[in-house]
Amino acid sequence: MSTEPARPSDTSILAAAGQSLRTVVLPNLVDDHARATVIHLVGLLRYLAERGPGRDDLRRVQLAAGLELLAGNPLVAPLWPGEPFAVAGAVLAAAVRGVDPAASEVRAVLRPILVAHLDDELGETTPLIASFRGQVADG
Amino acid sequence: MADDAMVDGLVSNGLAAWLAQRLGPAFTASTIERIGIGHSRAMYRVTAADRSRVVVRVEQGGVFGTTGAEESAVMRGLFDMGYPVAQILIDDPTGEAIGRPLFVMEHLDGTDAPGADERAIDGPTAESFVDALAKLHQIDGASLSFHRVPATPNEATPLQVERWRDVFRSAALSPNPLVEEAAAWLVQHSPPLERLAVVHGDAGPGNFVHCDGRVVALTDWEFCHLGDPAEDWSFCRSMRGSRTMPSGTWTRLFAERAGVQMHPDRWRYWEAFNLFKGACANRTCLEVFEDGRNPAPNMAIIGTALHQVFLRRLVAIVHDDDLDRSLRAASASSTRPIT
Repeated sequence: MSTEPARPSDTSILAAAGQSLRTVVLPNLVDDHARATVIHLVGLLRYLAERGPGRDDLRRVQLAAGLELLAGNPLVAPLWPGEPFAVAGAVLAAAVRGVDPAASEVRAVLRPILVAHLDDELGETTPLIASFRGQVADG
Repeated sequence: MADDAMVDGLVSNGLAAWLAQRLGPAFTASTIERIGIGHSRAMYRVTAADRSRVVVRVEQGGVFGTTGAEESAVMRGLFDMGYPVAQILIDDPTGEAIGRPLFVMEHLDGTDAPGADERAIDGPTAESFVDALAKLHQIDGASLSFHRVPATPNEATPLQVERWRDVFRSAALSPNPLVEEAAAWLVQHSPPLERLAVVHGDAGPGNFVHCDGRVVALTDWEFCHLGDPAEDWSFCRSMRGSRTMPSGTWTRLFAERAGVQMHPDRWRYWEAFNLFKGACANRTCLEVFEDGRNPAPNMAIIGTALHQVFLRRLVAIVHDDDLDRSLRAASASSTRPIT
């Protein structure tokens, strides 16, 4: 029985699109706006090919776990349980006004979780900055 | 007349007909060319058969949460005051011409070498720009048509923080706690302000036309508002002008030409403010990309990578405990003003 694929994979189509834009379309473009647009698109295609699955649900769970640790904190208690991102935003904003232990505890628990999420996201999107500045992404 | 597709698919022959109708039959467009990449607005240089030229500035589906209507109204007011700004010729806030709001302004001749770095300027041009910005800050903005007018000078910066936080909230699918924390921090540490100034909001190299060491006009007024001039000086020093020359050189130039003096903590505050503004504004690009109002690939990049880079730099400042303590001490003490 044949194991030949019945149709091209998403990965192959993405690779074809990126390579065609880089090696066929781009060298023939002279208009600045058209060139910039193609370079952005090539970067975006590489991002699509390389990024991992969405992690919003995992991050929500991690943030909820942090808030659960703070359930007895006077800034958190009136708002928790609730939607983790909304609650975290409200309590971090409230903590800005204070230098007391409750505010410090909120910052100490929630900030590392949220900054780790942001850094994780940046790990995938940072190559797009080079594309934005006009560098053609490699295959 | 250029074929539609040869421009970029947004401008149609309808624009040429509309321009002839509004500017008079003598203005028969012969070429339409896009100027630069233009993230928030698409800019087109339209040249008529008689070689006269105008610039068409087209909204891109709500990018950055600003409107061309407010921008052109402010530009008209500044032009009437004699400030160096392009004259507005036609407003089309409803999208009558091509389905998107736009305005048409005079074309200004300046240094415009193809492929040149628009942010590379010489010393005399930098000095001329600083003089022009200082002059803007001296203008009484009461007669200009701003949508947001703070009741008192001290409310100006918190009002702008609220504005950009709301722009973020309406563009994002879910709350971002780091943005909420930064907004509260910026309000908490907002410096007192004695007098409302007209703030450009996006000032620096690349956003003015210049020729022979002299600024011909400031451009890109979509972020203009009433507020604290420190926002502009900081924006130029740490963001728009950072590639042009070192921040220390800008700081010296601001001091020498405009008498600007700021404590290092205050420079950091305003850098945070501008990063916040950028992070919030950039997030709108992902919204317009996702809902199809503007499917250009740069929208996806600005709305993700650039938004996140700005937010990461902002967080580093907001989470700097030494800076936080210093700003708290300064606001609690009348003997150590930071201005």
